[in-house]
Amino acid sequence: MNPVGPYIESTMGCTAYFPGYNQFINELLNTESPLYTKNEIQILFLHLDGEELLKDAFYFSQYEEDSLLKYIENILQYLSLFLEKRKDVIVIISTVLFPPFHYTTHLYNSLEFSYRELTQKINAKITSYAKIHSHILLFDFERIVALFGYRQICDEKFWYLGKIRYNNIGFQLLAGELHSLLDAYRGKSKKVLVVDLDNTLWGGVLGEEGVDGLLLSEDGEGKIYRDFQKALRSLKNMGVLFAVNSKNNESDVRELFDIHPMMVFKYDDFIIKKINWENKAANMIAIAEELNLGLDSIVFIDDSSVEREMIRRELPDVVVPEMPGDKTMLKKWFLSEVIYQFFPKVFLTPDDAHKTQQYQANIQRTHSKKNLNLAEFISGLKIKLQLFKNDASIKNRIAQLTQKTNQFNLRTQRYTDADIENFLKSGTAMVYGISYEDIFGKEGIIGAAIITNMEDTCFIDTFLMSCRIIGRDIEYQFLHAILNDLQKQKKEEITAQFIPTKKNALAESFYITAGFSEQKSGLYIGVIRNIKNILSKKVIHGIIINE
Amino acid sequence: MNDQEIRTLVFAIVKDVFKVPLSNIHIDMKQDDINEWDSLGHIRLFMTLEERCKIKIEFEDIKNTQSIHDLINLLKIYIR
Repeated sequence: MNPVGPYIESTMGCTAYFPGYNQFINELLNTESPLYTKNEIQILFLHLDGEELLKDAFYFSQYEEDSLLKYIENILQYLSLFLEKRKDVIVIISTVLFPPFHYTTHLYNSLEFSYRELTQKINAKITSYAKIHSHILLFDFERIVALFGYRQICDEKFWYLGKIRYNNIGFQLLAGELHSLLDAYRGKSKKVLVVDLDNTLWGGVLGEEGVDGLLLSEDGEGKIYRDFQKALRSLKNMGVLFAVNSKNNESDVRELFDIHPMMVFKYDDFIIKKINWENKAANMIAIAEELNLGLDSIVFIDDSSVEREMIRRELPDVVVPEMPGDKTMLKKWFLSEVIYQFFPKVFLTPDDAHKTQQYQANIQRTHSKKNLNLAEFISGLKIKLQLFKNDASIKNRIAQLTQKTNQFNLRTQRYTDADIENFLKSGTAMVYGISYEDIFGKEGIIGAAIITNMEDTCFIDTFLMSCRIIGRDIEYQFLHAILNDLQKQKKEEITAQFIPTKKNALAESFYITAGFSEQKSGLYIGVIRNIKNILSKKVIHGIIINE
Repeated sequence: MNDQEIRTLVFAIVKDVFKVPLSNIHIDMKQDDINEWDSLGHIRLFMTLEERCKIKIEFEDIKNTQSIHDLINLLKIYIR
């Protein structure tokens, strides 16, 4: 695997350590080996070679199958042993690539134990194993090779020269896809898909051809666009928001969505619709502002190369993938390239399925806010909060929040599920979450806090809240509830910190307003009893908080 | 590609793959003269050569190349 090193360096910006040839099992079993002692190791990638596994397995027999499966089980056990000691490491295990040919040819039709079944069982074992822990990830190498082609990535001459299985294309691919998997694990999915309409969601121009002249059906060319809509809309389940940015008459579009029987998208699937004759870049900026998201959360799909180029030039933060010239490729292109590159996911949280509703509810709140004064507005919301304390079932969501929240985030510490689990297990930290509900709907868990150093003077390692909820003093409610809980645990003093970033100026005065004293630049200390007093005067009464 | 260009190309690849400063590379260097040019280094050298020059070099030719001089001669055959 050694030649993958330079590709890992250039794609991921980190170096790779390789155990000696075929030494990986020894190193896994030896707690003094570099695998255990090198603290810089953050990721362990295990990639077994299918051909080497099967070696000279003659015919397939019960014995052969049992020994091979046992061998795999042992390796997985050794991995578990490693994970016991190195809880901080993410393990990535690859599905095994077996050559798509065997001298038994089609004997799986009659043999009790066949090549096909054995190779499938091996990968099934590996796949199930990866589900056990949230910091063991499956790298589906089989899928990647199915897409690219076995012949393209293997080169026999390097195998005979030095037991190197893949060629440079293979290694480049490996490094690239690993990087992609890790990005997905770290929650780096884009949040919004903005689409054009004419010749993107359907064939033809609505303003010219009218509703009946458009290509959108279950046959021929129309099916291309219907399938494309299905592929785009599949992201709804992944928590992605949709918006329209199109040069059209809004009433024409509204009518089209109402009456066309072959439309896959519903008009309300799109949380924001910029259907006008304005400049598309201005529309894009408005979309980002209304959603309170950065331009870098947006992926823009438009059939016009002129519009694509313009957005790339004017708004370089927006992702504008190059569309295939051949429109028959639209669906496959979107599924195999766009989603993997820009909307990859490793875990799904219950909130994801309801993202559109949540954002819609929030836009409604913002509209009604304009007509009332703040106190009336807040009490009119009939807010209900729920505090979660050291609850392992929400660790995915807490980790997700630390990754995504940029504005109201006091220290911007980014954590993975494994990190949160470690806090939960440490015995010296408290992990809090807070969920929010009002008359417009449930938001789920929208705030997180981690208190560390509980065995001495506690420290607020993490305090953040989704910016959708800022402006209703919920952050003070949250802090108050946490201090209340800490007081019950006999804590008297608390320390905190504000680390400034480009995006979190909003939170700069939070601790001062809450009643902490600033010790040194950015560092705060407070007596819990006193801060609670100050906060009680700030928090709006009538908000129910369940603990 | 003329002789000078091939020579420059080879030196650049040797520098990148084996991390040898350009000033230290000369045409008489052999496999034994460069630390990183072990059997694994040999494979990485040819993988890089194939990728950069967009050629496929045969097994026998890879085995028989043991010096910078050999490399340059090899490329002369493959690139022309």
